[in-house]
Amino acid sequence: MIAGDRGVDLPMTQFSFRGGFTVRPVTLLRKRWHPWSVGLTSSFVRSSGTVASSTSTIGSANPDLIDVPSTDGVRVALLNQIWLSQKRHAFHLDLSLGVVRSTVLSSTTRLVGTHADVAVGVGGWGALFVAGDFLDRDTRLTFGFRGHGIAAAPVVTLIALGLLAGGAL
Amino acid sequence: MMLTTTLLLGLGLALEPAVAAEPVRPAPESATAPAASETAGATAPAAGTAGSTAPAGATAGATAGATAGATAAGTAGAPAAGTAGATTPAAGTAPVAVAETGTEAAKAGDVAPIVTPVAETAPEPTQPVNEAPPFYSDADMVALRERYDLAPLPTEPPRKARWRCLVADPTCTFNVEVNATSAYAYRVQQGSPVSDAISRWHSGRSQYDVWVNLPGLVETHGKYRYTRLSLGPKGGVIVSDSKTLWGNAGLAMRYWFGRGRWAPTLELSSALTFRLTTENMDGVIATRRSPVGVTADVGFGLGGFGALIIGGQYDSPLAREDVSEVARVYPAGMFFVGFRGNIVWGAPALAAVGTTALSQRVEPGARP
Repeated sequence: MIAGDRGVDLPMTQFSFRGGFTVRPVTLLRKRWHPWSVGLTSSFVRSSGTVASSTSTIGSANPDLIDVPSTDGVRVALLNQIWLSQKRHAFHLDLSLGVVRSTVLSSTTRLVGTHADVAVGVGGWGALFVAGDFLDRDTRLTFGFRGHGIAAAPVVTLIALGLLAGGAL
Repeated sequence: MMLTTTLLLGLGLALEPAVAAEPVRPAPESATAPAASETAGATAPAAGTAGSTAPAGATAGATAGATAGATAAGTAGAPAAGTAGATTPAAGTAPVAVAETGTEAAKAGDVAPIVTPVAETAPEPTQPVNEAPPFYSDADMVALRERYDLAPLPTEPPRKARWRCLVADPTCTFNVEVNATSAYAYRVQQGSPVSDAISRWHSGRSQYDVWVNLPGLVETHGKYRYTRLSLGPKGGVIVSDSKTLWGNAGLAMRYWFGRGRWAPTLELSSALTFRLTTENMDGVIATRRSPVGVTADVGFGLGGFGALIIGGQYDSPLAREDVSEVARVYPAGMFFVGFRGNIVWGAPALAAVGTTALSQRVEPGARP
C-alpha cells in the first residue's frame, strides 16, 4: 500500500526469507523457566512493484505513472518473544522493531525506514503476522504467515524442482 | 447303597436354599460347621477334579465350596452312585464320607448338612469377589456394558500413529502435515479490458500446503480418544501455468468416518489467495500484485494418505479508475479436479512436481 501523492494505493504481495536467533536471558541467569526471550532477526523481502510517479500526481489529469516491477528490501529487527506456556509447541507472541532499507516508489535509491512486526506463533514452527514498513512517502502494511525452514524447505524445494523441470526458471 | 443315596438326597434338599442364595460367597455361619470349615479349604480343590474326592465335596458343601461340593456329589454320588460306587473305589468311598461328614456337620451346627444333588442352576465361580473397593470386577463391567448395548471396552491400547503424526491419524491429538496436490484445471479469465470476452483454457494446478490439524471433535472409546473431526489453519503455495504462483492461507477440516488408519474421510478446505508471481511480457517470472481471491475444495480420502478433490478458485479484479491500464488485474478463476496426498507418501509429491513442470508447457488463453 502506498500512502502519498506520488502514486496510487494498491494491494501488494510479498515474500521474505528471515533468519536470526533468540536467547532467554532470565532462564539462563536464574536457571528457571521464564516466558521472555530476546533476539535479532534479519530478512530479505521482495514485494510486488508500485505504480508511482517521480512527481506529485495531485492536480495532474494525466500523471506520468511508472509500473515498477518489484520492490526489494532488507530488514534488521530486535525480536521480543513472550511464550505463553512451557509446552513444547506453545503459543508465543513475537514483537519485532527495527529498520528497513528499501527502494521507495519509483526511485531506485534505497532509503531507511522503520519496520515493525507483530506475530502469533506456534512453537517456533510458524506464525501469523502483521508487519509494516514505514518509509518516506511509502507505507507498506502486510498480513501473512511464515513457516520455519524445516517445514517450508520441502515446499520450496518441490516448487523450484517443478519450475525448473518445466523450464520456468 | 440305598442308605447312602437317601442321605445324599436329604442333604441336597437341605442345602439347596443356601446354595441357591449365595453360590460363591461364604455360607452363613449356621451352615458352617467348624469341622467342615477346616476341611473345606484343603479338600475343596480336589472336589472339582474327580468323583473320588466326594468327601471334599461334602465338606465343602457346608462351607465356602458349596458349589463344588454339590457338583462332586452330583457326579460321583447321586447319579453314579449305583455304578461308580460299586466299580470305583473312590466313588464307593465318597458317599460314605459325605454321609459321615454331613452328619457331623449336622450335629455340630444343628443344621441340615449342605449338599445339593446337582447344582445345574448354580453358576460357576468365575472370580472371587473383591473384599476392598472397587467391588465390581471386569466381568461385572462386561455384563453392565452388554446390558446397555455398549461396545466392549478395548483391551489393548490403540495402535501407534506412523511418522510421529506427520501423517494424519485418528489416534493423533493433533498433527502437522504437508500435502501436495496434482490437478487438472480448467482456467478462465477476462481477457480484454475493453470487452467482456472470456478466455478459457485447459491447464494444470499443483499445490503444496502445510496443514495443522487440531482436534475439533473427539470420540472417547474406553480410556482412549480418537479424533473424529479436525480443524485448523493451513497455508501454502499454488502453482499453475505461466509461472503463476499464488499464496494461500485458510482453514482445513477433515472428518473421519472411522478410527482406522485407512478410514474414509471427508475433507473441506478454503483459503484466501493472493498472487505472488507470474510471467511478465518478457516471459520471465516476476512478482505480481494481486487483490485477495478465494479458493475452496472438497475431498474424499482414505486416512491421511490422500484424497480425490474437486474445487475452484476465484481471483478478484483490480480495475479501479485510478489504476493505469497496464497495472490493472482482471478477474480470473479455475475449476480443478485432482488428487491431494501427504508428501511423506512420496507419490503425491512426485506427481505435483510433474504437474508443475507440465503446466509450464501450457499456452494460456490470455496472459494473466
